[in-house]
Amino acid sequence: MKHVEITNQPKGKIEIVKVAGFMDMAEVPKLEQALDALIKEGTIRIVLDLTGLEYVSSAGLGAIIGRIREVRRSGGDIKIGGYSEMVYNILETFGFTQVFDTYTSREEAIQKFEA
Amino acid sequence: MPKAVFPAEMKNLESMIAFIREGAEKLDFDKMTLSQLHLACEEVLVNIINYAYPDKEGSIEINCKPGQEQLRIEIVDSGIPFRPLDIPEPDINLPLEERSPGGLGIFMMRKIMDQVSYTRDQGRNILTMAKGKQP
Repeated sequence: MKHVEITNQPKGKIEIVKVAGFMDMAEVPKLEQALDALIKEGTIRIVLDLTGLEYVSSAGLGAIIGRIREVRRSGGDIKIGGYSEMVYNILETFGFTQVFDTYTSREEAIQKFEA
Repeated sequence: MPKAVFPAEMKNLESMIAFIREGAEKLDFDKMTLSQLHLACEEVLVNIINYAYPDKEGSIEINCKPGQEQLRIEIVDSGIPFRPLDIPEPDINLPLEERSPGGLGIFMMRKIMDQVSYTRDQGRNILTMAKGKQP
């Protein structure tokens, strides 16, 4: 069975969330829970590192969209800091690179938060 | 044509996709095409699991027909009539705040697959999709 793995790493006031593996519909709640826990404790600047994410469907994208909306309302953001080829293909094809703040690496996304 | 029938439950999603991927093996698709195929099928199957049988238990029949250059997949359910081709395409140029999450999965499926057709026959929704090798 394929799973998604989620690990958090704080960097100052920014939280880096690494999402790796395979995120089909059944695995989406893991990401929702991880992001909701951070937002609940007041973290509104999050970098999503998707370099190790092999697969995402519309359910996963929907979960990310909802949380980006939520933190943007509080003046924060969730930036994409790195992506796999498959994830980029989906983000680009369906217009998400225009609305997600998307960078090729986590370092670049962190810099944008710190600028 | 290899055929399999599954109870329309989320716990069977992985087995359904595995059956389709097995059917795709002959065509030797590249990794990206396989991921796209997986995505399109997940979107269709999740939709049936979530909405086709609101008041009863039901099943999903999958027929895979691997050709020389193309994989044809037929997904059949006996749930409420649902014609995916009638779902309006979401506007992917809207700002995030104005985007509606509804319809994205079906739109993805339609954009990924080379051919999609739908018929309603004897109380069954029959969705036929085809994906060919990338040139």
